[in-house]
Amino acid sequence: MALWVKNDSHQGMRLVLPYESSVAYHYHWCAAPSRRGWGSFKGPGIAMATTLTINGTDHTVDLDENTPLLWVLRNDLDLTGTKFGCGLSQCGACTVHVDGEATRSCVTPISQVAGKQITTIEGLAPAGQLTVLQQAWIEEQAPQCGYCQSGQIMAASALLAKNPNPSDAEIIEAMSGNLCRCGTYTRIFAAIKKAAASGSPLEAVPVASPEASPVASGSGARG
Amino acid sequence: MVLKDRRRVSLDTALDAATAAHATRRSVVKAGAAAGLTIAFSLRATLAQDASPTVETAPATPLTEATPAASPPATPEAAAPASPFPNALDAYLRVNEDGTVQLSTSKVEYGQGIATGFRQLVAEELNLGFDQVTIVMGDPAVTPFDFPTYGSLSTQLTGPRIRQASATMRDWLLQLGAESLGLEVAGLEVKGGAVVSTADPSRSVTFAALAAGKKAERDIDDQAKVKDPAEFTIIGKSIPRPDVHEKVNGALKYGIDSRVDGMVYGKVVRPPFYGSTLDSVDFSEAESMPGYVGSVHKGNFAAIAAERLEQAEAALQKVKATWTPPSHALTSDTIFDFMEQNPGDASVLDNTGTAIDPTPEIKDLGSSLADPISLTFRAPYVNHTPIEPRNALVSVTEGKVEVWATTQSPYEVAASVADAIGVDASTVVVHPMATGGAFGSKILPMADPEAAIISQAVKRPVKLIWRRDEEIAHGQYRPAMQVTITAGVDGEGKIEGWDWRLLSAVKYEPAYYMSSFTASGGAAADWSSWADGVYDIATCQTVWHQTESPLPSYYWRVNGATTNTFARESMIDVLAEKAGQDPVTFRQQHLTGNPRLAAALDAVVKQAGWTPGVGVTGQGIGVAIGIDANSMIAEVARVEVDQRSGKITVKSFDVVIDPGLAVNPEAIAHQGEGSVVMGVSSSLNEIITFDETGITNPTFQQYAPLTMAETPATINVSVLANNDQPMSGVGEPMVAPTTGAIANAVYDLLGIRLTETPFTPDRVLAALKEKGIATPVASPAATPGS
Repeated sequence: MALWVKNDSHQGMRLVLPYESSVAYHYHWCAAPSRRGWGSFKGPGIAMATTLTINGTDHTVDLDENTPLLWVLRNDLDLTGTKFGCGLSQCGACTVHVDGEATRSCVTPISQVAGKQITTIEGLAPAGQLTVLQQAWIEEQAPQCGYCQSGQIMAASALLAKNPNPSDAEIIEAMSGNLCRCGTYTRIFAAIKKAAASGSPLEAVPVASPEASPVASGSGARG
Repeated sequence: MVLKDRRRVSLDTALDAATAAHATRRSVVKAGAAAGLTIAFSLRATLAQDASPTVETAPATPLTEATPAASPPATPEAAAPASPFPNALDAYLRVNEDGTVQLSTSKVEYGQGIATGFRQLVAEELNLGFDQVTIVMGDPAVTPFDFPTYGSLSTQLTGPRIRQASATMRDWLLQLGAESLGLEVAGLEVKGGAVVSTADPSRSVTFAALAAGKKAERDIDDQAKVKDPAEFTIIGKSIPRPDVHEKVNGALKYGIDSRVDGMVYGKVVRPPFYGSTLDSVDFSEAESMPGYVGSVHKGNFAAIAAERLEQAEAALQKVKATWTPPSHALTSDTIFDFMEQNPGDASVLDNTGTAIDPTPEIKDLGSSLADPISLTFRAPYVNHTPIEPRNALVSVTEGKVEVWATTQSPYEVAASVADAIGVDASTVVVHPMATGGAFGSKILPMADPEAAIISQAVKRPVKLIWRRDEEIAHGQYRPAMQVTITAGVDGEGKIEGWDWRLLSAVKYEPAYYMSSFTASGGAAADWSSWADGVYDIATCQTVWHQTESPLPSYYWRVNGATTNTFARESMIDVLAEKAGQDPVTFRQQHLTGNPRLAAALDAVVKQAGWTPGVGVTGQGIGVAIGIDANSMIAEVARVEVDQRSGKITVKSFDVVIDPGLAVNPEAIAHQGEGSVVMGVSSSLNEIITFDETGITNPTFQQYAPLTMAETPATINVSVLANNDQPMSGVGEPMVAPTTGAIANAVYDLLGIRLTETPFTPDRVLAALKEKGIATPVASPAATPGS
């Protein structure tokens, strides 16, 4: 009978993933690093003060430079709208904007984003307001459990900022890195189309009351 | 266990389990073996409500402070009620000081829409506006015992209780109003939050005034008259779900978002494979890692904690553990052979779905048929993969335990935590947080007892978040299943003989680190998945083998019905062609006993604009139907196949559901859309692969749920409201027919019969080759969204 002993030598199946070049940390585990869902943290680096500009406000944190942005947002700054889903940039739940680019915060060390403009779901619109896109999300009743929706909205916002009138294929391409296990894709698609049609999808508007929201169509046609 | 009615087996089994928990006084029970079901119920939960109607429950009005829903009576054995549910009206409904009415329910909302639908039920009976009803959910301290949120049972089972409670509340308020106004009840009505004289509307008194300082002190009256559907003004309306608001701005706090001062992060040392035994563990290197807080080792369980999450992950890598693996050497490639060779004992169900006891000799039905057809269908283990992984925050202090939970089973969280750390469940306070997807994975508490053990050891609040690979490789699975059907058709085109042999890998011997984690079962047999529950077939035989499994099986959205329905609906198409009929006509000829299902089938064919033909028509359209959670479902899929790559693209799905009384059609349609996506996902993509070293695809890149690009461009769900019928379940049933509809559509297009999920390009190419369709035909890959 074989014994499984944790060691560094057994590599098993390896995937070639974009982040792997940055993974300096080999797990002491029977399985290869690629089997584990924690590719982002490179292991201890240098602890240092890093200033992060998040939703227009500077925050200085004294942390290991390799700490993933996701965990600083969630665990140090209590910006929990950005979610953990996989830790390997494979689900999109952790999507934020870095200088306007949709970025997977779970594989982004804070050292890479110092001095850049970081936007989270909490920063899309001032308090008490939502963007037209978020409002469209409500009108289409897109969320079910809602957990992935911050990442979905951040991905869609980054798309619309660059391409205010995307084609169906462009929407699908931009959104297909964001998983939704509840299967709300057709609603998400419809919300993006609706917001784009407004001409100002990222404009912040006062929040409509919950009871005043129109009822969505009831069928999920897209494309 | 006798399966009296296949369509109700889940409900009956759950009731049996709850009653058994009640009777045995065990905190955790195993029950419902016939359905492969294991449910744990806590004694406190079961006894809390119904054992003694005089038990002090939450105050009726005004709402002052949260009090426990009830305490266990002194002599639990003395009370043996048939129902595990509380019956006291106060447990469900109360009038708030502002005249709004608050509903309490232990069900959990995670996007199914029950928080909205339940409020509609209350508002309807009390003639309130939707926003005049508030709701408190899933908090064992204040909400009445109920089953976990599973099995599409919320609307089906809890809904009628809420309706009846609301009618009872209305009658009570009318009675109070009559006394207050000095009028007869017969001349009064409830309207806008007040009791009003029908003859003189100026004579009225508000609910708040009537209820102030009073307790209802009455049980739900089963005779209280609920509204005639013809009078509905709120039930049946597609009221938007208000909870979506805090899901678009990041405000909603899920379990993973919980935090308390002083908390640290735990990590569990996972075995390489389920069933491994922990021989030794060495924390010495981990202890020198930054932020290290402490460790715990109890039997098969080992874990560490650190100040920060990433520190905990780094320290975990320094833990040296030695495991003895399980003795089997099964892989995902050999599991079906193993099941065939080791089928174990058989249960035989007769053609009414009743288990025959003692089991008679298994008949060779096929030999009596003139020209039998036999086909075998397979579906592998699949995983739930909610995007929010299992997690928990637990604070264990002297005399008090607090749990912030993401769960389908708030009551069970308290029991499992108490069991894990050896405290009384009454000292465990569960704070229900929002749940980020579940699909069956958050019924059995797993992260919660783990975090509790670590917290107890390190004496700090502990947050435990499963990584994605833990979620995929250490969770639970829809069981591997194999169905072989042998059947024929007679000279008049009717099905003659229907022999169903089911193998389901559901027997997993717990070798996990806590005995209460009896994570086996998984209901490979399911509500009405047998052919004779749907179609008129004179002679049926159903033989069911529950085989050993290397992985713990458990409920996965609509459970074994996904596989059973795939097999049944594929075989029906095969028999239709043999009878020289199109798939719709053939089904209709065998649906005389199920007029509602026949109507749903008619409706979906019209909706899809489909003219079916006999055999391969080249249209790429397929149908499948089913009855699950008492809902009638019919689905039509349109597919394209790239014959060079073998890739299937599902272009559209048309779905018709008859859910009986339809509370919120829009929410039902939304469930249908999500169900189709999950069904397509499992049909095309999903398989848990494993070898002797463990599960080999524990990332989202390898175990790949459906993306937007693969989602059918159109998913059109219609709700056939049938308001004279009871409310039925809608969360799961629409998943069940998807695989069969896709398989039938692929056959309709190309004449290849796919019999094993997932329908990967390799399998499609192999089927094409076998069929002799080797030359690539000009059928370019579908353009997404076109």
